[in-house]
Amino acid sequence: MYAFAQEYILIDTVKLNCIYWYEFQQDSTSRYSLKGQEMILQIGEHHSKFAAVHTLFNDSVLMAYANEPNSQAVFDKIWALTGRNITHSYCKHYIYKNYPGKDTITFTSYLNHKYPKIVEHNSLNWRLINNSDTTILDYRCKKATTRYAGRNYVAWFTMDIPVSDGPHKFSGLPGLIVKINDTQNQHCFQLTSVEKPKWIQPIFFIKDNFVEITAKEYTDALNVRMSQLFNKIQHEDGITIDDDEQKSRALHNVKSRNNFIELY
Amino acid sequence: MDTENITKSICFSIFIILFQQVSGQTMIKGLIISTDKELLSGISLVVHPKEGISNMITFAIADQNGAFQFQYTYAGDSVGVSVRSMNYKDITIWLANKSQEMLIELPVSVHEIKEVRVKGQPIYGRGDTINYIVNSFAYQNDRSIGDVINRMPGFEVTERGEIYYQGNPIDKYYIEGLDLLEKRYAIANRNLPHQSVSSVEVLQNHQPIKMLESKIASDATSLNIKLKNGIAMTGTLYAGAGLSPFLHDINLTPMVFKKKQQMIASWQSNNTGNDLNTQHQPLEFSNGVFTGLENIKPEFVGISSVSHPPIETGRYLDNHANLLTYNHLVKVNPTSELKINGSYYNDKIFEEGSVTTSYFLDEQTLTINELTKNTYSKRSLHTDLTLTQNNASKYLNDQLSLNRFWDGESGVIRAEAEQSQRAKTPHISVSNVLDVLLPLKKNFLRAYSFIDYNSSPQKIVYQPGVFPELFHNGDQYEQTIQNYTVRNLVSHHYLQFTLGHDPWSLETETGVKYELQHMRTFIEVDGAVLTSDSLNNDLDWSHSEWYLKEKLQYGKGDIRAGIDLPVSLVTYHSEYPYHDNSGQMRKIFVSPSFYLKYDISKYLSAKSTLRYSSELGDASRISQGYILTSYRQMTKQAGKVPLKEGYHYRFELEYKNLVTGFFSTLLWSGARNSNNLLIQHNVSQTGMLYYEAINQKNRSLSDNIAVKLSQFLSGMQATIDLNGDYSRNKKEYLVTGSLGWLTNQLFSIKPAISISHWDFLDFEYSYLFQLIQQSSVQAHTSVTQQKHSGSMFITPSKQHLIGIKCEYHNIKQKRQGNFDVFFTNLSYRFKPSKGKLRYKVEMNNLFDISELVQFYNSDISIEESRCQLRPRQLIATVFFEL
Repeated sequence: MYAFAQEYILIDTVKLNCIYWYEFQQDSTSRYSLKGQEMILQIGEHHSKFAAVHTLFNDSVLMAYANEPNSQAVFDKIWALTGRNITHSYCKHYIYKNYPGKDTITFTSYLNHKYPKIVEHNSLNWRLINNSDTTILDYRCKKATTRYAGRNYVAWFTMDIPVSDGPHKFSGLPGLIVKINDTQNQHCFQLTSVEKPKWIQPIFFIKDNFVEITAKEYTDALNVRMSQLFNKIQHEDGITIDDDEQKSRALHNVKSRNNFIELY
Repeated sequence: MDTENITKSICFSIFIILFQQVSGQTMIKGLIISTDKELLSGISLVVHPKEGISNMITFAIADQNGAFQFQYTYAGDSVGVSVRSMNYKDITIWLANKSQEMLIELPVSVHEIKEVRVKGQPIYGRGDTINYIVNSFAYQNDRSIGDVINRMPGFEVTERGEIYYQGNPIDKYYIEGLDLLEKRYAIANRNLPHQSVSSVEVLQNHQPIKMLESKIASDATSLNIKLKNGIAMTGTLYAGAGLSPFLHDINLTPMVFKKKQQMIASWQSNNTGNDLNTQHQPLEFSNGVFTGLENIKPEFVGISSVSHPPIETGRYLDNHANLLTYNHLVKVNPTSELKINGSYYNDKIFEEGSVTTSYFLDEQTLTINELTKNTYSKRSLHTDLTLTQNNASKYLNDQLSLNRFWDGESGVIRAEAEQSQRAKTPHISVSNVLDVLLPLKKNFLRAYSFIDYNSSPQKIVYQPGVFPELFHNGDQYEQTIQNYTVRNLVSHHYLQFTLGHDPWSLETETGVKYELQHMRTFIEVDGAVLTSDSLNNDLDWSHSEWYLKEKLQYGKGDIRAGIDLPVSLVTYHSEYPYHDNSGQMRKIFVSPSFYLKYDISKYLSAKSTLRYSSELGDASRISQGYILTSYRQMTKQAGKVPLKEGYHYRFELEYKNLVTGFFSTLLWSGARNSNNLLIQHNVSQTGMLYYEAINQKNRSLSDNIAVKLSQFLSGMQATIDLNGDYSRNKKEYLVTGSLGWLTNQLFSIKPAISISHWDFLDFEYSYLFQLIQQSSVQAHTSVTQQKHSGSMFITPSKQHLIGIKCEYHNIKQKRQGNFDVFFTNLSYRFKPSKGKLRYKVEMNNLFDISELVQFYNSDISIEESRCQLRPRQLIATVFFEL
């Protein structure tokens, strides 16, 4: 009855937990529309998983109760632990790197009762920039640039953590990405913590009733959801907006959710 | 290395020699293995210039076969290759800068990674509460707390001020833990400056009833505003003026929030067509149901009004409205609070219009032209006094309400002669709702009690006197008064108990509804009461209903289903001296219903509902004396309680594909009903109408098919909608002594598009086509209505906003004519980047359209109604932040 229909497939164990603070402008036209979300990159021996911290925590709670009977009491317990955790609709996804195959990026999400899945190959073309080294969080960082999904990015990576990985779908540099932002500064991931797990932490691939789509289709679907939200407000709730100014602002609000990290 | 690899490397060597000759590039290829000869993947390799390892020439990551490859252009004679990994030793190898092949063997060595942690997040949580630090989210151009909340992750604030958290509306809006405004929290959200707020607390799974906390789960989210200081004073102020005639629009809303008491007051006044009554009538609801609806005022008599066209109220409402509201909450002790909410409204509304009615008589058509000018004087007061006690062992909520109306209306109708009419429709209602929760073992028992006393001494005066042939031997006379007084006491009490065993739940509710009513009507002619039995009603009746409601629900997987089985025993007892119709009646009613929802696939779901009902209608229809319901209409009831019986069905298919952006719904619903009473219409040769309910079993049936399609085009940020609707209603009516069918059919189609692709422009357009057909034994009519509406908002910069709104209506009736109207509204808003002022200029009804025509049909007539609209007007408004 609850979220137990999912299947958890053990794919690796965590070697390193890297937490990023993801700050993004949800409205491409407004600097004031910044939102933030804590994201985690779990690096294993062969695979890695990237998701919102809240999402991962909620999953672990659901896992813990997965074998208990489906009762209201269990649901209440789960809800008490997970209910406070919120994830912005731009961050409600999982990104598995090198899974199922090497160089494969699997993106899964949940959008309006559907489970979209996107499988891609790592095809980032990085350009190294010499003589711009810096230190972030005590790590010596090197600079590299790339272009991905409609935006140009500047990344800082460290060979102190010799893992070719990073936030979102970014990877392929000879060290962990410590900070990456687009040149318009609308999306920025900054590493805030790196910790080795104190106990054995499994990395699960969460299998759902997936619908396989392309990355572009996912971006479109997110836009559709925003439009639905607006229509819901305007039509289903029986609200008619007579005031021109209010109406214009309502329309603007729809427009303002136009800035998912991937643009197509 | 095996033979295959050797062959490969020979080929590679030949290739790189050739390659170097041609390009001048260096190509290094190799394999990485562990000391145990295991191929290593995911290892980072970087090529450095000979000057040092701080710079990089290129890099590679070893693939799953441990293979890597570099290809670069570098002029130096040597390069360094650094190898880095998590579980093997870091090494740097210096090589001559030439194309070559290499094998790297790495010894195991666990890499020590520097662990780091940065502290301090603007959002932190503890248990079910999340705190958002307002300073972290506020920006300079934010004004109210609502602006800041809108930016917080997880929140959405709509234009009407409703707050959504994670897509669901919030349940309660507390300020410092107190719920002053209930569902009218937008006033605070829009006007409370964020500078006085320290944090916003999100209370997840908030159960407002403390006794149920941690016992009954709630999935509701509430919000608590934590103020910086003990006191915050704030509010809204704007004033507008315009022409013509002289127009004004004023809003003054001050607020005070203290630890133990809170106050929000408001004074609003306008004659610009802004209906303040919508703010006066509280729409309060709890547990998803409206409460207080029982207090709505009934009108038993009334002047003949002008039919309002289906357009925005502001286009025709000619008002002079004032609204005064006061909301005050006092915390009596830590778990109890006392709240008073009062609202006073007065309004003078003018309306003007004309009606042409054609009646189909047996042998001819009678046409009556009426020109109507009305004035409504509305004055009413709503007050609620609420006491809430809410602690871990007790929940009690009691609300005492007093609603009083001093409404009056008057009008003049010019037909062949001039007829004036004046009605007074006062009403008073005193009610009390008590809701108590008591613990009962592990579950809870809910006790609910509602009592409402209503009194409505209403009357209407006609001048000159009406129905002279009936009341005055055919001679003209001065005035007729219809008096109509109703007093009643309504109550509803129940006990509710729920048992659950997943996936089943069973709710049992048992209760009683009791109603005691007195109705008195009489007619005065030139000051003398007409004593004839047939013109008087003096009725006392009581009605009681004992019921038991069982509600069984099931929900698992793709299926949701439920059965409701209410059984009630209804008793009527009436005393009716005038018509010797006293008596008693006792009957058992069962109204079962069933619903099922099934998710057929990921995209498609089906829902269905079936309901059978049998019920008694309005008991006042037991009366038998004639009542004047308009200056040329008399109505008589059947002397019997109406009994309605029938079934209703509804099927719905819903398809949603988020990826393609296509959404659609198909709906089919219908009802088959039978009634024991039938209204018979008689039209005299002079246009006098007699409505009489007679004992005649009759049927009615309705069917409706609706289709909604919607496609979102993400490239254009556009939504295209298409709604179609077909409905057919059939009912039996009396025609020359026998039953005939009256059929109404409505066909409508509405395509619409909205585009918000551009930053500087928003555009919307819709078209509505409606065909209304009516056929009866005597006649067949058809009316076509078309409406085009479009709006456009232009934002050349953030400070300026220009709005244009147009509407075109076309109404066509066979053999009656064709009417067109075109409306345009213009507006301009200016907001300086600094300061507390904001300006707006509006021009409404640019082309000064003065009236709108509508057609209405009944089984005996066609009505063409014209309604006067507000003239062109210009309004300038200044907004000031308190």
